[in-house]
Amino acid sequence: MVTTLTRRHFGKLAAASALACPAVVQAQPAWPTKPVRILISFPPGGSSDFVARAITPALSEHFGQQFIVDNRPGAGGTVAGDILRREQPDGYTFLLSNNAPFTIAPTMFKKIPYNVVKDFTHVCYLGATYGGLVAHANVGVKTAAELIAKAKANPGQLSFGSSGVGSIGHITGNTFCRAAGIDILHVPYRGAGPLRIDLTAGIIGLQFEGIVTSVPQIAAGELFGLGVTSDKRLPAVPNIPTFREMGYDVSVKNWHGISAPANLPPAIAEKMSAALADICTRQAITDQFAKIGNYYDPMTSAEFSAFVADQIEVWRPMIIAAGAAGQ
Amino acid sequence: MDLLGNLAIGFSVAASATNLGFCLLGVFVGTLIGVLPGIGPVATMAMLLPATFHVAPVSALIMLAGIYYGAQYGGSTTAILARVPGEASSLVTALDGYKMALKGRAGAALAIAAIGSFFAGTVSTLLVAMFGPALSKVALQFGPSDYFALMVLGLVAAIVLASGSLLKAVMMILVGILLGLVGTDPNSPLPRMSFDVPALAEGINFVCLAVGLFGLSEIIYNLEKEIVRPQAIPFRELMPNREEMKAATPAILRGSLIGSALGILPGSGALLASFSAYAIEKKISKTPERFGEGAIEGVAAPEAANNAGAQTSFIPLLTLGVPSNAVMAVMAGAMAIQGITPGPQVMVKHAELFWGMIASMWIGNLMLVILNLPLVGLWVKLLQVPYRLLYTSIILFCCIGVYSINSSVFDVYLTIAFGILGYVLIKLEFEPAPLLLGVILGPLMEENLRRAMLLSRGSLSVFWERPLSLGLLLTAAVLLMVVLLPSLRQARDTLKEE
Amino acid sequence: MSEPSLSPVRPGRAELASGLLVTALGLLGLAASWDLDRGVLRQMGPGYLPATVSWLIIAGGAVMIAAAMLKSGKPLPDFQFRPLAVISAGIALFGLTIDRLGILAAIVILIIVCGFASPITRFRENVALAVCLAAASAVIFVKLLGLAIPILPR
Repeated sequence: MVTTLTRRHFGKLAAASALACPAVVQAQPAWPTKPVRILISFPPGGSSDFVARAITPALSEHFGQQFIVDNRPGAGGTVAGDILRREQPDGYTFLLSNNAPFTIAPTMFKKIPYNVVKDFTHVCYLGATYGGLVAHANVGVKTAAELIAKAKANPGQLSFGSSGVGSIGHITGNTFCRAAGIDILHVPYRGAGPLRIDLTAGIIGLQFEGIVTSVPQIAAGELFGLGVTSDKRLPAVPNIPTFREMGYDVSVKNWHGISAPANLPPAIAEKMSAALADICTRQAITDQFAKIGNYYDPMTSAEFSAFVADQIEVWRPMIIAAGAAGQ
Repeated sequence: MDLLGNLAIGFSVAASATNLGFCLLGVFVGTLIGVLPGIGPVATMAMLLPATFHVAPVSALIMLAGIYYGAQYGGSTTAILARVPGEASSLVTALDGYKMALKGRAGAALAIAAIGSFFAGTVSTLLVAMFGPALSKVALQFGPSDYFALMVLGLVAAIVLASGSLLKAVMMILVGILLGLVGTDPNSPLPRMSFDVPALAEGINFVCLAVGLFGLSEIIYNLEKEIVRPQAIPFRELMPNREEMKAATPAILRGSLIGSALGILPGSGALLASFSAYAIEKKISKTPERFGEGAIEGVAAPEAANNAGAQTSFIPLLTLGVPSNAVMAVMAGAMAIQGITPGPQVMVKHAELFWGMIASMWIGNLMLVILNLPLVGLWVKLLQVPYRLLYTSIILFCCIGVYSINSSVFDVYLTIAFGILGYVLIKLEFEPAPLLLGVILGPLMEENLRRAMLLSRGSLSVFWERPLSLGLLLTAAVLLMVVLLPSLRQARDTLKEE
Repeated sequence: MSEPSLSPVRPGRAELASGLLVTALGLLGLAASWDLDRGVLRQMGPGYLPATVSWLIIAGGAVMIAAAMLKSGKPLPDFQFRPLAVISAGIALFGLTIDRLGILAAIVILIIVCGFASPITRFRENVALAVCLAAASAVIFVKLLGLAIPILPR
């Protein structure tokens, strides 16, 4: 049984090496030889959960070993981050990294149990989803300009909901309000679900959450899309202008990636990167990603590590300005 | 009428061999995880999501839905047999169901739970089919002030639940609220009242509370005394007798209606439904002292209510595309992955999916009652197992169940703490049920009160300006009067005599 | 029914204990929320409701204690510590060992230790039960349901 396994893996190793940079022959057994865990920093049902569950079957097939998803929610993602930090860098534990533990937490919390740059190897980028400003029909505005005018005429009378204090929606909303010079009351909800319900009912008029879930309601005319946070217009909602093109510096990525504990052997990192680079460009996976609004751009590991470090600095002033820092 | 035509489409879709197979798989898995305390439908559905990628959308959704309401059936089994609620919504069933088991009527309790759930499933499926879109519009009428009023009414109903000292019941509710407030506070990302323990940052896990306070404490209490195990029951007696059926039937009816109504409301519709149904049964019963000691209505109504609630909680998702709880969020994701964007157009563009799902909900319920009724005999046999073997097995189930939620040993230790507390409470004649209700309702009340205050810019008038919240608060006040009056009169009489 | 005013009042120990327990829980709540921002009703801080509820609990506990002192009541119920202590210890050991020693060892330890909670268990039978349950659990929970629990010691 062991011989068959090594032979099968040798074949895969040879194939993977053809894709990756010329790999030095490792003296240890070819990775992976047992199931691999991918931690998720949220409970089941969120966007990082779906991204992970979209790629794990393909990864399992590619490597011939089970890749399992392990949800470890808590404390803004820092529970999962802490678990990852303490694991062995043997390629059997990864994290579906995203903004919460690695971009927002370092600024939002006074103390977190890890250092984003030093305690982890950031292996591969998996894409980003984007948020958008949507308004319920009863607010009476169809474009961002109309909203700003209305807000200036009635300071403090309008309100926007977010999925929580320090959430991406909160920070985005606050950044937009500052950029446009308007005063809109922030109403935090316990998660995106309850917010969505109140938005549908018209109890809250505005939100800055992920745009994809609102697409059918925008199509039905119940909601109006006023702006998106990407740099270029999104294929899912081509009629909604980006904040950038309207002149507001609100460009926000809800990114996803794969990270591992620090000092992951480069050979394993490269195999993982190469496999994911292949998987993420397959039609089936791109279709899955599009359904949850995840847009993938290829990035090397080095670029990804730099990106992660950079995002902390990009978000820091926004988080501080939103009053969510130093908790 | 269109309804019959649509149902015909639905049944033809749902009754295909593949879909029947998926339905069976879903309800079977659902029943299993429902029986096991701890791991619940959300986690299981999420785990099985990848398996649905390569399957037709209808089949995938039928299976996932089956897991959800199958879990409602399974949860009542452990509640009745061991006083451990397998699912949060079976909490109330554990009260009278377990007492019935102690009296040797476990078979009847289990059977009524299954039959009641099936009837409720039929009623609620019909309601979903006939009034789905209209009902969801109703659900959307509830703003934060209305929810707050509903929660207040719920808390008052929790007092009705208690059979012993009123003061002790109120204390339990308050302690429950306090425990429920531990963890995240919606207005700040920082955990509160958690003594800096990271595992408490998200709050005290409900399963630890339920398993500790109900299940473990019961075991510890049982081991203190000579346990009399029920005699082997001949098959005829496994089923409810005529008297029990007569009492249970109206309870099932009422429970189905209450469950259908409350299940639509986003949030913990199913749990609220089950104990509201219980409270109502107790209030309108001519012999309320039977409740808490093994009244069959106390099993029939909540079980009907929680199953009805589970079915109707699909309404907001299927008709508006808005998920009303964590389970529906996973369903929404499953739909999205299948390329079906949840929303009002699903009913039109994917009519076979919509009606197929509705039809399969009924088929699933049918499968569940067919699966579960014969199992009643098996479960009752299990009760014949000598307690010295049984109690360690129950402890094992509880431990694995609790650990499996977050792979957290802290949860296991927490369960021990609640087991000890629960034992002390039993000895001092406090009832744990109101505490658990406080845990659920407290944070919801706070969240809604705060949001109502924020949105109204601090004006309290929002509670009496909106007809819904006004009505609910008045009902709560009246109910409170009705509950307090006898006790006040008693206190006044005692004072008069001295 | 009033008592003749000359007989001494024996404080109900059970009620006294209840009142003390409740008051203790209230004090615990107060301590946990002491450093939280209270805010006002219109802008409730995180500490508003916890503090309010804690005070209500303490008040209720005080009423119970007072009532217990003024009326004769039941004596303290008979607490047996063996089942309580042993089961707590067994589950605690389960918690300690499941991560490091895996599901098989943890279950065996759990069941054997919990067996000592009551004289009704028979040791050898319990050990056999422990082994069977451990094996069955490993199959059902890890293999079939796919829970992320290690089977063998790391």
